[in-house]
Amino acid sequence: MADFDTQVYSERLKQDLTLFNRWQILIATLGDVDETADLLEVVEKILAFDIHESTMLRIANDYWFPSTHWVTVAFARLAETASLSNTETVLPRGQKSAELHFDEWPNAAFKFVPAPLASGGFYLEETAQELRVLYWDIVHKRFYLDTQQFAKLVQTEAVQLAGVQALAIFQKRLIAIAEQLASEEFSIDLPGLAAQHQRDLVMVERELPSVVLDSLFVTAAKQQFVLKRAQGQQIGVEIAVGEIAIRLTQVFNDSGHQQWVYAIVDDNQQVTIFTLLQQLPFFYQWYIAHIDQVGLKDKREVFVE
Amino acid sequence: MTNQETQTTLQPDLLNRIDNKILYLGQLQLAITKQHVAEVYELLATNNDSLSSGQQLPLIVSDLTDELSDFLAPELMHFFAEKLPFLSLTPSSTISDTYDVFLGDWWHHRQLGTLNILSITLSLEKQMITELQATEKLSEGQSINESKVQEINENIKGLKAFLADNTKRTLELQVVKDQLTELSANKSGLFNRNDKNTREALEKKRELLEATQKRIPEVERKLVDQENELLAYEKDDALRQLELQAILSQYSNVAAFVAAISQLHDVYLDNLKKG
Repeated sequence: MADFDTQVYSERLKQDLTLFNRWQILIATLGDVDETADLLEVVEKILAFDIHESTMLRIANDYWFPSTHWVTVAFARLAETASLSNTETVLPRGQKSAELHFDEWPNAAFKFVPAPLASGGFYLEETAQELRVLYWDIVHKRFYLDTQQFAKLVQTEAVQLAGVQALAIFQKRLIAIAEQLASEEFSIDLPGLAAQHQRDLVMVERELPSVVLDSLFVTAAKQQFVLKRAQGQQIGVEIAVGEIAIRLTQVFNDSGHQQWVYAIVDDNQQVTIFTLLQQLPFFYQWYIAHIDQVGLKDKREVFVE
Repeated sequence: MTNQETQTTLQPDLLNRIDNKILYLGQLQLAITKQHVAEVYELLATNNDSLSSGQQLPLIVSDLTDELSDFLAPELMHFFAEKLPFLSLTPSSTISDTYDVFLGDWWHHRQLGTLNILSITLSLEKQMITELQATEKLSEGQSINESKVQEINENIKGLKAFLADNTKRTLELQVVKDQLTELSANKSGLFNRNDKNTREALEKKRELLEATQKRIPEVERKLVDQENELLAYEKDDALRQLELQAILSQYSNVAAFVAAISQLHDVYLDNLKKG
């Protein structure tokens, strides 16, 4: 493995053909820009350049890198400013696309892959399990969390080993990146990721058959947790986990339809639903078994299996 | 003597009884006004031996059942919350002076019995008590439905294995079909005895594989049924375990709990008098 150095690469490009001059300026800009808007503009131009003008050069030049590489580099820039925890961009030997290593998860690496969608965009996925974290479409300004695969990712060995704190840092990092993108009018959808917004997390299905809650009751009871009936007039259930509570309630949404939602009740606002999926095997086991009903509602249409 | 004086002289019993009733109602009114709940219960039991067994109020106040139980219920609820906090009580939707008593506040908690406010009696669900007594005799980790759960788990394992083999069967079927096609193409009209035997064997195998594949929807349905049945048994076991834990958090065994409930009337009245 070797560190990828944007500046060194841009210097090499400068020596090449006239066409490369423009290319070099773009790459150099990618390494220099501070403002999110400028960064996004330059990476968008790089992607356009890659699509429209690079075909011949790609074949001829060993140092050509695909779009996923530049998306990775741009994401790394955003990730660096979004967290005090370091982000490293590493080019694995023999590969053409860099990987991201976040300091909080020393045993995991991430890479971008093209999304097989007509509208384009890229998935950020963990390399060992190939589990997606999110979808990033720079051209159409979309940034969405894959709640299903992220839930599976938090249960993987690498993330388990890193622990609660690592997950908290990673979630905060993604939220901070999303804030940068939101300021550039990106559409953002990161359900369940922000510790401050753990109420009204909408489930995929509006109606929950009784058997699904029976299953949660039994799964929880096997690990000495008790699924209690909701207090007061609300229809729902609750599990206390120390000072934290997982609440599932049926509410009326803005359209007047009934809808089941989660609330993670934590007075300290440090825990998210993903923290609990990471830490509570019974909750994860139930969640995954019924994910088509109780999974968090996300922008499923962009996540192609 | 006037007629009126004659009637008064001749019917002292009637007048005495009316006086008694007025006195009784006056005492009851005073007890209620002063919030003397124990005294109210005593007055309601006066001349009415059957009340303690949950029958009816004295005739003179028999039309006040709802109002009297509304008056008496809060204090009794307070007693339950303090002394038997693991029970949840909700007013019965069918009988006005009774409360449905549930064990625990968990999902699908079961009804333990019915509490009559006026007679201070809690009638227990005998089947539930029998199950709890059977559960408490089991060793740790065991449950009433244990053998059924094991049996269904075995069934589920078998059904899942059958479904998991489907990919293998599909491939095998394709191979058999290819072999049959090849046999037909190469030896059309010129079968020797060996080819005929091979063809028959392959056809039998194909029929068997196709018949097996046709069972998949049925097996999938059966798997769902078995999983639901398993869940129902496990849920019953989990409920009993929680119920037992709740009782044992306060009583040495289920029998002690049942005995305490049978003395509810006296214990509650004593508690009121002491309070």
